[in-house]
Amino acid sequence: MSAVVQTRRRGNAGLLRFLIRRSPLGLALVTLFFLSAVFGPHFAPHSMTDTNLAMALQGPSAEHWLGTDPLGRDVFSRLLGASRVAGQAFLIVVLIGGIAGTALGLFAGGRGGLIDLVVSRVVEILQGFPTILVAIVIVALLNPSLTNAMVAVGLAAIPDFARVSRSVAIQLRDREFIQAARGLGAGEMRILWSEVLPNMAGPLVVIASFDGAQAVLWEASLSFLGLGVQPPDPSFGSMLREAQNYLAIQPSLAIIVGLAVSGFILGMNLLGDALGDYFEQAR
Amino acid sequence: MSAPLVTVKNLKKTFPVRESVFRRATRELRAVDDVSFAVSRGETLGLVGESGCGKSTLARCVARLTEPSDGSILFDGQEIARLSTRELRPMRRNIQLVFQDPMSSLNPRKRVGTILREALSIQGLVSGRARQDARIAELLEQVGLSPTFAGRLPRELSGGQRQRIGIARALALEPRLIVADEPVSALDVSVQAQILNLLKDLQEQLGLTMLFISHDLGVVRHVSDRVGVMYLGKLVELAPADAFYEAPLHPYSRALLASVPLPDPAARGRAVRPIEGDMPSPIYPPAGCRFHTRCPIAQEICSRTEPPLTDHGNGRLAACHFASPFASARETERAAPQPSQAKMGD
Repeated sequence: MSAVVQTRRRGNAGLLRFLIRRSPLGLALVTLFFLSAVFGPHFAPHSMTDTNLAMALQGPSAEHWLGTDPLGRDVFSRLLGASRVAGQAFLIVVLIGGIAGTALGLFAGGRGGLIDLVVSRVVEILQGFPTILVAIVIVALLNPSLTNAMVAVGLAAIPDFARVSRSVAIQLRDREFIQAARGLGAGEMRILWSEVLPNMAGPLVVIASFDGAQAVLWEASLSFLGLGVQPPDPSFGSMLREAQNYLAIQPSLAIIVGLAVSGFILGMNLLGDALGDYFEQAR
Repeated sequence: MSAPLVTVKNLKKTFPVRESVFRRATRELRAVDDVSFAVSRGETLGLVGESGCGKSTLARCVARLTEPSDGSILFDGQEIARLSTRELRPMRRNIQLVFQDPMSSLNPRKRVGTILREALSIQGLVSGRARQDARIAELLEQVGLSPTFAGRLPRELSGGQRQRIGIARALALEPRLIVADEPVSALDVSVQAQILNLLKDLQEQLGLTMLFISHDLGVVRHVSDRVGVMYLGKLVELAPADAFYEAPLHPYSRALLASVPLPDPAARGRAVRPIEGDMPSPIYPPAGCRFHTRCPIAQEICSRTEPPLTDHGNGRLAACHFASPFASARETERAAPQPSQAKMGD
């Protein structure tokens, strides 16, 4: 009987096919980025931190595919390491912002009334803080590190998720299937969790893709200012800072890192748009 | 006959209305205003009226999706009008709703099997996956669908199929009362009949009691044992279906029936003037009889005194000073020399 009554989800083959058709470039760039974030450091041809001043500031060669930096480190290897750092930034921000923001928005929009009023004002206050200021305060209170910097950015992402999930929850609150669940005797929490939340997946994935891209940019900015990843560890920001002093001598350094960051952001935005379209048409 | 399954007494549901954003709610919209009726076991009571007359609000009150402002609802002798959300939960399985828009009443992200499984597990009625699977298959067959539909998403179904799922979900809890709120008005005419027949069959098989809400008199006639007519939050007529369709007592009922398109061309000759004007706002209901602004036979008394719902024999109730079962629509027009305020463009 259970073979007949099949209620499990089918695979997401449809989504993948849609993305390949709709945004091949975005999908390729993002896939490349995440592959290098996950596996890159294992396949790095050279050490990311060992210096060799005799080999400093060389252009691309068979040995060093993307050349070497002012301390003679292999740029390609450091770029792979930086992509992992950026991937971590992406994850931390989306997890903090996504879980806290969605929970707040779901609760506020789903319950309405006084709860909504209070949560909405708190979210607005949170939104009022400039991200960079929050990051500086947190890093000053604790110490400069990737995690601390990204916690600050994650806090700043909470309002985005909260606003989107709240508005979707409000749209859904009076739909008939919610009333049907209530009529079956489902509790309000169960309704939020099992009826409302699954219908938010689309908008949330889209927000996550944009805020995740923002997170990578923030990681680069904060590390550039010395508030994030500390030397000698590689990150997009710290690599750009090192490159800026040698713009005249070895411009390819800055160009390569800049291209890597822009490529990822572009890919993520293209993918985010495509995801938005997918969920729009699947509705 | 035994006591009725549902007894609604002096039910009121009002909504606060803000006249401006800067002021507190000062007036109220009386969606359901002092309505009383009873539904016997195994009976179908059809409720008709124009949109905005309060019939859906009434349905929501009876199903306790919303709390009535005043009055009482006895279900099988138990007062449910004042129960809290928590106290209601065990009551829920007795009363189930069938909704109007079958697309909106099914969660678009859930497969049919999941929707039905949740209905079974929320109240802990059927536990264990295998037993739930068996019951899901049984429910699907009961509403005329193959068990393979369990794997489908709502968007993969036609309107009629979706409404069948909505009915299956309502049946999952083995309710005693089904409140059907415009269950076929979102469907194609060809599908409407199928769903109506399904509801009728299920009612006979399972001994269900049904409160059937619709704006369509033809649809109501098909399923109802008794018919209630609502106007501006009031029940203006309540009568056995046969008698009602034969000769309605209330001028509003007559006007409604007259506006039903007739399939028989020969019968079209007796078509009367359709009802004029719009329904007044339920925030500012007219004084006296609420229908007097549009009534073809209104007299002076109608704008002063509100007629109570009175018994005219044979279980027929009507709220009209001049209710008469014998006057045909044409005669009543002749009997009304001053057709009142209603604009009669000549």
